[in-house]
Amino acid sequence: MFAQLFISGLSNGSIYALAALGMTVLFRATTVVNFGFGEMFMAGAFVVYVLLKIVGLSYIVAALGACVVLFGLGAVIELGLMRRMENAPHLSLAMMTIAISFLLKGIARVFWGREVLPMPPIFNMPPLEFGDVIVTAQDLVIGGATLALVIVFLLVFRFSWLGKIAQAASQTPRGAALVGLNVPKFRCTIWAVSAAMGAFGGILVAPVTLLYPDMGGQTLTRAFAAMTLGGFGNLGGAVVGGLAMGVIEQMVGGYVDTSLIDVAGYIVIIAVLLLRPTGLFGRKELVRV
Amino acid sequence: MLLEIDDICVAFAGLKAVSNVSFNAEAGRICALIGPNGAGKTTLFNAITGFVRPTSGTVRLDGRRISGLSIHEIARSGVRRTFQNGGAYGGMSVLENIMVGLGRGGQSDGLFAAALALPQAFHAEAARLRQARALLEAMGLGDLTNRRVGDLPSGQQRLVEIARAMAGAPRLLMLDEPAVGLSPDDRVQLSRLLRRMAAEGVGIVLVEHVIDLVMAISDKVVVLNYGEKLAEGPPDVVRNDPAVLEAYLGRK
Amino acid sequence: MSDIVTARRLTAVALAMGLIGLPLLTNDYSQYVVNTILIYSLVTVGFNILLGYVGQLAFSNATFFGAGAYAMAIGMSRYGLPFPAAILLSAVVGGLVGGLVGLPALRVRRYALAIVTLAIGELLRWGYIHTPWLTAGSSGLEVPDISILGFAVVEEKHKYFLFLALTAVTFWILRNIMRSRLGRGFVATRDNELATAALGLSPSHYKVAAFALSGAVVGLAGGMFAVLLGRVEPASFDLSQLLLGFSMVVVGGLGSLLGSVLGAVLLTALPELLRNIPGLEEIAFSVLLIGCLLFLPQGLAGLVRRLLPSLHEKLFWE
Repeated sequence: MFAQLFISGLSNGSIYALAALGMTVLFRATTVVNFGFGEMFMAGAFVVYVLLKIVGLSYIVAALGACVVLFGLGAVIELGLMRRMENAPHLSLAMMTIAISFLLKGIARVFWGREVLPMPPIFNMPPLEFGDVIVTAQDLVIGGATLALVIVFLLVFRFSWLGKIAQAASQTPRGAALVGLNVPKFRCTIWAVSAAMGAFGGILVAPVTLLYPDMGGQTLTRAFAAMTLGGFGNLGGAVVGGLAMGVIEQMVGGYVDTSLIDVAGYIVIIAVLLLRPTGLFGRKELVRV
Repeated sequence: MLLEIDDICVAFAGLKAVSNVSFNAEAGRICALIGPNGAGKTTLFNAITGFVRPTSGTVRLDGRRISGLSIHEIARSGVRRTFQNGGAYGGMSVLENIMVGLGRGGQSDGLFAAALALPQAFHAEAARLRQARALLEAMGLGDLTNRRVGDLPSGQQRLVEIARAMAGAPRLLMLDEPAVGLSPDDRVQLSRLLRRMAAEGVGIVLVEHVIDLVMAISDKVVVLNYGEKLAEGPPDVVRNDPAVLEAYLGRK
Repeated sequence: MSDIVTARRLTAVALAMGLIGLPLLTNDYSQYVVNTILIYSLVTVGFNILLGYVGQLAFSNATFFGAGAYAMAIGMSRYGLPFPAAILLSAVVGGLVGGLVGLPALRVRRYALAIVTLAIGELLRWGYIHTPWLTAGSSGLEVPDISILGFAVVEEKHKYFLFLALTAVTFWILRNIMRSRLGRGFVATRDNELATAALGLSPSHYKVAAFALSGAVVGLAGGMFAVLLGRVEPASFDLSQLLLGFSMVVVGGLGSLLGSVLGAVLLTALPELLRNIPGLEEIAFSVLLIGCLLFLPQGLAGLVRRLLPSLHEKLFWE
């Protein structure tokens, strides 16, 4: 049973890792926490559904289409809304992202109200068996795709000029601008990329969790837990935290009580912030006098 | 001895900002900390007041160890400080600033009484108001009582900050560059104020760049350079110290 | 000077008369809406205290609201407490929960506070669902009819006067507190934390106090809410409740008493109108929020202040 729980945990965990990564990327580059990130997931999944079922495109094209649409959405959000709030206090920025999340949820609810929609699986392969452990095709796809994306991102951020730009743009926007970086364009791109990542995650996870307007909330919580566990703002930490969250959830659910799965994330958040506020890999903040 | 700084070191990630500095400051006397930029004066100042933790060494106030305590615990022991960039509450009136500095003001009313507007809260608050107004008069700031601090010129804001610090009846008053940005008249007023407070028994330690002021009012001057103590003594002795001259003017 | 004082006194008297005479104009349903507005005004004021004096985003209004409501329900239905004791219990429980949430909250950074208060709230709600021996689980707990000094308070209009009295007393107590040493400490901590510490006052102490005070006020409102609805259930205190309280603060205007009331009025009336169309409520809310954040950062109160500059009300800070 342990092995099965572990594998399921990793599979779920890769989604959380993806979500946490998407949020951390945005946070590192713009110091904004997107409380509406869960709704990017949801929006991505719904767009795929619409493209798939209503427009009739093939899965791959629909998925790509959704990523493109969300890319655009992210850009529009940054251009239309976040940009005007550049000098607002962090409280207001956070509230804006919350308002956006509300808007997206409301739109979804207008069309799909109380429905819970099923999404066809990506591959129709029989599950693989390794002794007692069953690994579904979906698990493999989720794990593999997330892993690939995560690696790409980590590499890009750590070792490329893009990562350095992100650091510069977030810490000293004026300085970055002086050096010739187009900070507004960069911000816009990052929002678009973050949204697209959310879409990607939503597409992967929808066949498993089914689609409904409130599906974003669960993801957000897990992403927060992952970021808190791994250390807020740390890219590698977000990934490790996400995987760990997935495993913790399954373990707690399997060995203690299934009803605890829903709240495992909350417990982790509270425990980490009480015992080790900086998380596993985070750094301490300094106060200047 | 009011303040004893004993072998204080402050290091940040391998960089030693303050190295083995020791000196004393007495009650009723003014001690100035001077030195070129980057000498470690502010760091030492912050170490004494609890804004930075000393890496080693001790700070004692009237014999009791205060190094390692939190900012407000050190303040509670009888230390008050001002801030280089002005720490007065800009959004409040002068009187309100003093009232905050007063704290309990020796009264024994509690939250319950205040919440229900009981008479004892009324009387306690009235007593505090009297104390605050008296302090403002004594410091020559009576005219500004109801003015909003943020609207005042910076010289007066500094004085309000000092008055607020004094409202807590500290044994040790620490001033971080109090004269910066003040007009010559303001500086004279400041000097008079500081000498008067010292005469009343308060120990004063100030970090300052305005050498004239320092030389005029200090009983003792401590010179720092590159984190180390270079000289210590009365102003006249220190001003002629060759090591000090070299630090400030550089080698010819 | 005395003109303004006279004008203010007249306004206050007119307001009082209007409030007392209101039930003459309403039917049961509109009275219910008014009662709801009253309760949410209190919630918004309580939330304002927290956001204003802790200075960080904290998602705890639903937590305190639920705690107070459940305290009232459990107190009356399981332990047979009379109403006055139960409503006091709501405030006390709210205050305790507030203090408890405030303690660890101090150690965390900006966004972490929002997340951890959210987590605590949801965890508490999970607790309501999974402790049926205390809370009757998801199906909810009935609140018995209340009576004060033998007089049964069942009709909406009677509840109105009760709520009005409670709200008025609470506002009065809050006003006293804000003018006291504690109130000064709140403003000082908000203005300059380090300077406040350097005066021997502990900023953490004031932040926890702000949490506790906010908890007590919102908890009290929760107790009133329980009486209003006649039942409490976990679903009433979920994220949408949190966002409702939140929106009221933003739309009304952070830090303003008038704003709290305006926000409560607008955002209670709106759902009533949009009740039947799913999703539209959320869209309207979010558009309103976005609009306020972009164009009216001071909320409706800010707008009123601009139109009527003589209306000078100082609730929390200027």
